[in-house]
Order: sequence, then structure tokens, then C-alpha cells
Amino acid sequence: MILTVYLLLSFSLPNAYCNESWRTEFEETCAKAPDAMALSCDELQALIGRCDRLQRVIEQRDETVRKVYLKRLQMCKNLYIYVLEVKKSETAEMTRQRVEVEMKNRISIIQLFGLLPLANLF
Amino acid sequence: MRRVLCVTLILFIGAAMASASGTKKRKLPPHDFGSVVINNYSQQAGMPPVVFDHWVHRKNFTCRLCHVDIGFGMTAGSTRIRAADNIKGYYCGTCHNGRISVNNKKVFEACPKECSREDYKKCVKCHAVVRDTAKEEEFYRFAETMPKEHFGNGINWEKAEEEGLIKPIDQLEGVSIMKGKFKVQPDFSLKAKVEGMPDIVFSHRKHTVWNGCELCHPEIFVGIRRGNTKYSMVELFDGKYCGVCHDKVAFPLTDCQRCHDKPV
Repeated sequence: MILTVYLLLSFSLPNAYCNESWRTEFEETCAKAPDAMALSCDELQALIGRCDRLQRVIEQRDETVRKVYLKRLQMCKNLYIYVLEVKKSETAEMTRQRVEVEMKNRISIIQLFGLLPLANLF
Repeated sequence: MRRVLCVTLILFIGAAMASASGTKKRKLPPHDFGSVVINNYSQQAGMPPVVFDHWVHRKNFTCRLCHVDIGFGMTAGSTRIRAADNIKGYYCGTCHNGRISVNNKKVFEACPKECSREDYKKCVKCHAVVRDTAKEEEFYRFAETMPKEHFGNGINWEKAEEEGLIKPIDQLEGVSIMKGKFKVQPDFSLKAKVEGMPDIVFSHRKHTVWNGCELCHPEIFVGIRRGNTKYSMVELFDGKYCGVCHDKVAFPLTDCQRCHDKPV
């Protein structure tokens, strides 16, 4: 009996439920756009993944919905990709600067102890 | 021989003048500044093209609401709006449905389902057949109450918003993803290429009031690292970067001191 009810519901509900569930997912995914700069790289990566999955769902919708929501999703996804690249670039820049400072410190120490020829190795 | 030379000279000067006048941009009257002609399918359907007036809409809504939440493109004709889309409640039909009110005024319904003689009167509100002098007068009545500027619409929209003369709506229930206030990115300065021109102070705050983040990044401004992208006025006048908005809807690029305002 329970199985019958379950099977009946699983065949009748998907379209109606799925019609709205992707909208909820879309709103949750793109709601983070204004705070994108505050998100971590992992969070941004996860959001980009959600955008990709949503894109496949929206592509099944009718023409008008597809046209409107694909554009909105694209703007939201592109912003996340952009911010992720900004953060990666900033991290790379910070790493480069840290390495430079460390090298300078090492050279200074070597010079301090009068091991100048060795400093040239760095 | 002399006659031939004279004629050649006159022809040359005439050709130069003709080509100059052919490429010269006519300065638009204030009520026309920001108007966009939309004609993807209108003429095919036997209708005049739509003339969309930005000023009517930007006094009530932010750029972000229409260009991000509702999904309008940033260039004329790029959205490919159909009457069917409007009837389904998308694009223009998001607000133009005969049900929504803005500033206690009901917004007329666009693209009715049935096309009776009575309904045709609604069509010509947008698919304009003749010049609408009533709309022009409405513009000048509105502009009288707004802070002035020399170019574009003659209205300083930024000041109007700051002084609370207009309160553009940024989110619509059922359309926008409701968000709270976000942290605005800091302002920064850009060095002018031309010697003697004051540097530009770019204000993120002034732009995010109207645009949010996703309208500009990365579609208009792709550069990741500040200073990597070199902007030139030629590119701006060609409609790239700042020129996507400024010169079409926002204040024109000829208003130099609005941007080049960092003290030398």
C-alpha cells in the first residue's frame, strides 16, 4: 500500500515539484553574488559547480524561461569565476611578495655573517 | 588646366565636408538622450519599432533591477524580446501587466493577449507611430524639479538620488533575489594618460548604488588586477568599458570633469 502510494507520488510530483525547486536553488545560489568578495575560494568553487548543475536544469525549460534565467545565471556564475580569479591572483601575489621578503632576509643574514660569496647563490 | 584644378579642389573640399557631416554625431535633445530603439521583430510583425525611454524608468528603478534581475541586455536589440515573453510576465511584462503600481500609479499592460481595435491603442504606447509631444512635456516637467547638469538628459541623476529626490527601487518581490546590504568595494584612482588632465577617482559606491556588482564584472570590466587594463578615451567613445553606459544613458563622456576630478 505504502509502496503504491510512494510510486504514484514519485510519478506525479516530479514535474510540479521540480518546476519550483530549481527556482529555489537558483535563488540560493545567486543570492551570494553581492557578498562574493567575502567568500572563500572553496565556497566560490562550490557555487560555480551549483551554477553548472542549474544550467543543465534550466536548459530543459521553455524558450522564455530559458532565455531569461540562463542569462541571469550566466551573470551570477561569471561574477563568481571573476572573484575567484581575483582571489587566486591576490594569493599568488601575496605568496610572491612573501617569498621575496624571505629571500631578502636570508641574503641579509648571510651578508651579516660575512658569507658574501654564498649570497650570490640566492 | 586652372579650371580643372579649381573644380578638383572644390570637389575634394565638398567630399571632405560631406564625409565629416556623415560621421558627425548629432547632439540629442535632453528628452531623447537615453532612448533606445528596439526592432528585433516589430517590423516583421507589421508594427513600428519600440522606442524605449530610459529616463522614465531610471527615475523609478535601478539599472541593476532591469539589467540583472529582469535580464535586459546592455545593447539595443541584444535581448530579443518577443510579445510572447511580455505576455508571460517576463521582460517588459514583469511590470507592464496592468496589475503593478509604481508611485501609486498603475503600470499599463504591454502586449495584450487579444489584439482588438481597443488593444491596439495600448500597442502604440510603445510601438510609437508618431512623435509623442505629451511625453516630451512630461520629461521637461520632471526635469524642472531635478538637479541640473549640462549634458545628457540635463539631469544630475547622481545628485537626485543622493538628495532623495528619486528613490530608485532595487528589488521587486517575485522577481529579484532578496538580498541584504553588501559591503561596497573601495574607491580608487586612475592615472590620466594625457599630461595635465586631472586623474580619475572611480567611486565604487556611486556605481553600486545603481548597478550592483554583476552588471559590470566581468562582462564590462574583465581585468583582474588593478592597473593591468589600460583604458583609452578612444575605446570609451567606441562604447567599451565606461562607454557602455556613459554616452548612452549615464552622463556623456564629454562631461570631462565628472570623472577627471582628482585635484592635480
